[in-house]
Amino acid sequence: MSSNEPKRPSEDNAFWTIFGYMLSGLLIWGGIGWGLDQWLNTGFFLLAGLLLGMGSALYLVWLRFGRK
Amino acid sequence: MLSYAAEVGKDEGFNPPDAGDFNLPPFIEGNEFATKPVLLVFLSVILISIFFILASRKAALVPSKLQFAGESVYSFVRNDLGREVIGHEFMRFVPYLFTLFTFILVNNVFGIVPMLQFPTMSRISFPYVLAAFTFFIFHYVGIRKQGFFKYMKEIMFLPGIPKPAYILITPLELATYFLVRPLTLSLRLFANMFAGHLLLLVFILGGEHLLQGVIGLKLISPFAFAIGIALTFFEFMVQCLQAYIFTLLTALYIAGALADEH
Repeated sequence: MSSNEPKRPSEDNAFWTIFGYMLSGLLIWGGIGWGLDQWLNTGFFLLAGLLLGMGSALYLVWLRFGRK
Repeated sequence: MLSYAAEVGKDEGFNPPDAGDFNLPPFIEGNEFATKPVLLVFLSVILISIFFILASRKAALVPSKLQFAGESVYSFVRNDLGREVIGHEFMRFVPYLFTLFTFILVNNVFGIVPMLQFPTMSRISFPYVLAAFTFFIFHYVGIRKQGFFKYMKEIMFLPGIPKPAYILITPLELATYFLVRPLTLSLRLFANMFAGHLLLLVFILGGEHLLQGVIGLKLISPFAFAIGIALTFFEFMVQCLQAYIFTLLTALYIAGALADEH
């Protein structure tokens, strides 16, 4: 409860924020890829979407936590 | 358990517990709301109310044991979850955080209270509703504080990155705030309670079944019960932790919505 460490939560709970970003990266871009596969009758957009989602999630995590 | 097995027509041997064991039939015929989880929710509200009314009724400078217990819970939520996480505006949210924490905690602990022994939150509708409350509250707070368009802009456009990157990043931010946050919040609580209850069922029902076997199996049975008891203590820890995490994340989301910049 000391007032000179107000940043404790962001350190403590970066885990859940990162987890959330990774999950939404996979869901959104993977979902778009899956949709394209269904629409165009192909098979590789799902994988491409998952990779793109993972990559952009990692990029976002780096933007949020990495750069200072 | 037995009635369920009879209903489905499983064979004689040991039927491992499964998701069907969470489907408790209503105890008043034909009334789908008269089920154990619903009853437990009402019981929890009654218990919590009685406890805190009694604890605060005769507030004294030198607290009684009851008052001390009640105040410990309250000051834990107010200081460690409210003030530490949300900052100077925290008092507005303490009632919600406090209600959330005690409600989830009591309903979780019901999972190991003898005779009750069912964690309410292992029925997914309850976590869904709680997560929906948190979802609406933190968005409402953010929109009230910053205005709708500024709030959406804060979410969608992280400053200081090259323009093309927004194509990748903006959908992720939107999905995180509007989909993943409420989903993970409710599923985390649900899955922990569901899995914990199932684990206890496996060891305790398994131990009981071993008791009915031949002498060799009877000798193994105490070990199954011992693990069941150990897991009960472990479950207690998980139940408290999940109540804490749900409240903590709610406070974090509110704090994030209140913050002017990320």
